[in-house]
Amino acid sequence: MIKERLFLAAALTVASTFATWAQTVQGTITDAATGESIIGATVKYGDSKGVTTDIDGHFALDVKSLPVKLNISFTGYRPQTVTVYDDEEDINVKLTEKRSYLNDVVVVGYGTQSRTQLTGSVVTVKADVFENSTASTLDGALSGQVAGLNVTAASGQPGADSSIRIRGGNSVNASNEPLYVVDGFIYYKDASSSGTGLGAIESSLNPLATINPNDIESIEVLKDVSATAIYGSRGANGVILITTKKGKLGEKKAHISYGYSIGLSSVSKHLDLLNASEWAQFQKTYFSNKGGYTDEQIKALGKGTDWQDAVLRTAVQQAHELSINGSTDKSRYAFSANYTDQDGIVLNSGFQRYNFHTNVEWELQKNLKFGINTTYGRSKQQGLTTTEEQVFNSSPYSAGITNSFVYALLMPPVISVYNADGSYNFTNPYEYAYFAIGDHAANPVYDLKESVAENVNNYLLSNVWASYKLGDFTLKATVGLSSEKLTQNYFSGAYTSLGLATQGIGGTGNRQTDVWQQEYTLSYNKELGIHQIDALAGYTKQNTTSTHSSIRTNHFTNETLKQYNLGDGSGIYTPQTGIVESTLNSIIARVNYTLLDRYNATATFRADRSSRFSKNHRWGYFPSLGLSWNVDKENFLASVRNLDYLKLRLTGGLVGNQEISDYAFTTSYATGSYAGSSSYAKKNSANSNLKWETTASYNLGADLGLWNGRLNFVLDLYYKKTSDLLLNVPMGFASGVTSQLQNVGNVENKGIELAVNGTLLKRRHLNWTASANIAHNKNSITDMGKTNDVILGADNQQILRKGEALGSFYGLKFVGIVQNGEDVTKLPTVNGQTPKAGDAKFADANHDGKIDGYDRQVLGSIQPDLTYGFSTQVQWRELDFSITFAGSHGAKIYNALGRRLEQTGDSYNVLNTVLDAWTPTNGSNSLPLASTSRPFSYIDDRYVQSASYLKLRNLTIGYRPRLPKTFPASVRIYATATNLFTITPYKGYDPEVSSGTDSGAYPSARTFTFGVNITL
Amino acid sequence: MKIKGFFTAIAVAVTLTASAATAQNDGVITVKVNKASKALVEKWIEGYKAVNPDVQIALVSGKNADADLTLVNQHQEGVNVTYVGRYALLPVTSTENPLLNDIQKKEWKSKDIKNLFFTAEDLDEEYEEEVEGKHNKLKDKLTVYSGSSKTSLSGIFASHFGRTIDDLRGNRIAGDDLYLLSAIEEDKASVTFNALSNLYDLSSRTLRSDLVLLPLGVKASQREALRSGNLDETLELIENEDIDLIPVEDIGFTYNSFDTDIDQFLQWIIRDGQQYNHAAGFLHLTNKEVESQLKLLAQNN
Repeated sequence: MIKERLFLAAALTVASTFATWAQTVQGTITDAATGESIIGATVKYGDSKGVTTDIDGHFALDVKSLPVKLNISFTGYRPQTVTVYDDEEDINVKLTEKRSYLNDVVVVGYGTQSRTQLTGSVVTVKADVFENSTASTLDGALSGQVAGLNVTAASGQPGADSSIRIRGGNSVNASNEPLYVVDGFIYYKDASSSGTGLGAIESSLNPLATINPNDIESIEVLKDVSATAIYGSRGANGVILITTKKGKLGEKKAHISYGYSIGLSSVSKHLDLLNASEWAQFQKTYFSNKGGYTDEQIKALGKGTDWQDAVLRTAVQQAHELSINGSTDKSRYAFSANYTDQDGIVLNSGFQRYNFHTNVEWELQKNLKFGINTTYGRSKQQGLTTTEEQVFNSSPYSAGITNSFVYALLMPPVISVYNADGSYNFTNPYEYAYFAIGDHAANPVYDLKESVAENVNNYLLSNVWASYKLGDFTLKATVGLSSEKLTQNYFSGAYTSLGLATQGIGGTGNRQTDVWQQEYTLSYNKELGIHQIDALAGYTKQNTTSTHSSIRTNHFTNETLKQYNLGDGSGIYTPQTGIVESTLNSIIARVNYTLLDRYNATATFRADRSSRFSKNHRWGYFPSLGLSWNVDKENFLASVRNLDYLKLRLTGGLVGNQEISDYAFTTSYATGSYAGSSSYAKKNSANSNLKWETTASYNLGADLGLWNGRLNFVLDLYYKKTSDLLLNVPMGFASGVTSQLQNVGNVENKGIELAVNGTLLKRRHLNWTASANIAHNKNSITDMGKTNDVILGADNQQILRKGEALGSFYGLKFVGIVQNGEDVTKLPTVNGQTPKAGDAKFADANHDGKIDGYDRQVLGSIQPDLTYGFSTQVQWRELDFSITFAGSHGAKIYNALGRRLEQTGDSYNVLNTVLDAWTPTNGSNSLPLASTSRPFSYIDDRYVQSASYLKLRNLTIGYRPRLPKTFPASVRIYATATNLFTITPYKGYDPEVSSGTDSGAYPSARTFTFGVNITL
Repeated sequence: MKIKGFFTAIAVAVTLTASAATAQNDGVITVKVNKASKALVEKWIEGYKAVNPDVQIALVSGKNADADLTLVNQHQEGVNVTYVGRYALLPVTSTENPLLNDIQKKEWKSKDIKNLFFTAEDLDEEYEEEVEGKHNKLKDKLTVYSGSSKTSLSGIFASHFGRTIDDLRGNRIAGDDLYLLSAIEEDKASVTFNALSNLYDLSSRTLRSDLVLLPLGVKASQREALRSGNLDETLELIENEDIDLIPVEDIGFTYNSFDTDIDQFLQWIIRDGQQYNHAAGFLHLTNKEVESQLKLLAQNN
């Protein structure tokens, strides 16, 4: 017994001695800013080999004795020395990032990458941009933020679509919109999901309205091929990666914030139209004076009815925002709820959205993570009814009356909105053609208030993923669903402009679009001395099913329930139903290799198999190669003072565009009705050779940082050539269709971009930063195969022609007005007639002595020469101030509304510029003698106007009051002005019209917003 | 038999370990302290037992130890805490620092301390330009030592100057803050900061002979008291005058459970135990604090 106890004591003594000799110190290495574990940090002492931290940032190191000096290092962080004197507590070391642009970690396709290792052109837009903006969709906040990214709103309609072009447009008939990837889910603004086939609703709902800008942590704009090639057939137009907010690891306390804002919007510009006296006088002077006004009566009319004001209003918008995020030991979470209610400045228009978003991540086991991102919401847009795009003379559209807002501008100011008894006035003796039947004429105020034109989208975007780390390998599987149900409702009663002819018309349509996405990737990350390898391979699949149905009826006897009682309509249009299905299977691979932390190479490959192309052309292969050199790390630059970093980049590769409608490669038929029976009409003619549009892209770039990151430059030069252009080629009569989608021709884009950002002043209580960017892009069609010029647009105002840019305007050159005494015999004839004094003169471009379609010339294009942005932020003690400008120079816009409003006649109101029209006593050289003649068939350059502008997009002043420490929350109050001013030579409402043709786009608003944010 | 003996030994070892770790015995108030406050708490226990001989109070330590009362060295949010004393921090270097002359030439104002101890980012650049070529050379040559453990006072020092613990430049140590003084002893060209209880010899009541305080840019009379190297003069100065350059923070007890024994012990510390604070290098609570802490204890009942 004694022996046994002695043995135990001896064993304990030996063990104790051994323990002293080989002591284990352990601890955790975390990021000082985020609290996240740093995996792979090196911990060593003296000449020991050391250890690296595991997936939890944890390390355990055997040492001979204490104290011991540990050296801790990790790429991109300041190294730290910790002397361990006792091991009573685990060692917690927080490493601080070296604050340098190149040390940023950026999100790239299917992963993240340190900017120092990046070869591609990737721009990051951080959350503060979206937090400072009051825009309800992210595209509104992106304008002016990124060199080479041009955002043009479709109109000022709340919730409306906008056009985003990254480095110009590549395509004519395929989409030019970039690809969006939301937390890994590929989200395309798919043309096929933008409508239900109903028509008659002017505005489409912005697909990006499903994303609440305040949920965004960062946006990465992938511009060049090295960055976009991993998205292969959908990378040609650039890629926008959206990362939503997550809880921060290490921050156990939940962050709860609530924000409320309220704003007032009003139209940013009024058009100067004739008032009642001026209009009546104009009628009496030039036309038949239908009203029979005497001069005294004309004087007494005064201003009359300002129909522009009557359909516009000061609109209220408000938003509530709640967000909660935080973390526990093994999980992190973020939740947000948003409600936006935005009235439009045109009567009865607006946008509402509620949106819920969650982003949760768990560490289930040591190497196993699992996460769910879900967004659910509903957007509703109330817009304007529109006349269908018809060019028949009897069509209101061909008369320039595109919607009730435009019709209000045309209303004679001598006509009142209401009768003396307060009822709507439906009497308008001047309206004789389009919007009057018998003694009933349309009233635009009634139109807008009583018509329905709404888009309602219920959406769910959900992504579930799991990742498992196995040594240097990580397996990741993701399954996601985007499910959207779009409902469109339309109703125009018997007294509305669009319902007059049919005693009311209404319809409803639905489109259900489900996109399933699966992704399986295997990544490998290894640092081997001076070599660093990061490789990725995977398989992805996306299935899209979209069904739609719509029905319209007319001739209503009871309008009370509007579109909810379509059965009341006795006239029934052929119901429209349909289904489209598409599949995209892809194999992806990427290898990043870094040598000596200086030389980087990225090789990317994607193979896509798309169901949108014919069987023989379904596979597309998209490789790219990128190289970059961190020149600042070379010894020969080691002595250069104030050089923070210098990097050169060179990339090249192929990307594609598959964004055409489904089944474009095959023959299809559209159903209709004929003589009481169903009928089929050929809709599409098969093209078995239809294949990808391919863009070869090259980029040369440089990143330069000076004075410890105080001044940063990014310069890029690029060249893109799109071949096998997807173009609707006009077809002969025998084909049964007017055009066929073919791979024809090439388009080139080449340009230069420069972005600068800097810290202008940095004091303890004062921080002033600024950033600016400018980009030039030259776009041109370099080949159209055997296809001749293609004329496009309702007024034949655009042309596709070899050597010219996409979106080029085509028309006559106006040279003045024929003056009294001018020798008209020397002037070219118009429609066989010799011009007379007061007529417009046009350039006889082909010198054949007559003005006709052959004298038309290219009059500029919608492509800007320069796009630019500037923003600055100042923080001084409790105050903050930010201002953002965006601009564009050199683009043109066709002012179809202006053309209509300068067309004189005895029915409609006109711009007051016509008061300066030519008369025998006023030798004006801008507008011809007023008459009821229709304008010349071809547009002229008076109405192809400069779309250059400089806009003050956003001006915000915020204040964080000092509150007692015992107060449990921080508070910020702010005021924001949006679109405070626009400097532009454009004569219409707003030069920002994405289509390039302003036929009466919803005008843009100036908004003043006040808000408060409370954070617990 | 062998097996039985082995298991007996294991069982005894486990029982002893568990009892030491939990220290949660009936009728005994267990108190968990860190090294820097141990002397003070021992004096309180001794003083309290002198008037309440039946009370049993035991000190526990170790990272896994649980106790009725745990001493904390800064204000705590969201937990029950009774503040029982205060401490002050002073910047210090070694008498053998080769740059001692340069250090002593300077009157260290707030900006100087911030510039020396913290990373350059976010600092007042006007000041940087002003001192460039003079003070920055000194900064480049001096290493700052600070603590990384949970109980380190480095965070208190940083927050007093409007920064965070992560902004402290230089090297870290793991272990009690007392070891910061060992670190500057070893690496002579260095500076650190520490609580008075560690900086002064509690027996002789004078500054440790191997240390020199950084001369602070304070009023002449205040400077004299600090220069004297006398702990009691220094404590009196800090208690009576509000000196912006000297971080002062409360210590207190958080409690897992609250009963009459604990209440009376804490009341005694606040009313009568303050007389021991100076002896251990700590400051008295202010009168206002005494009043508020007693009031809070009364509310707990």
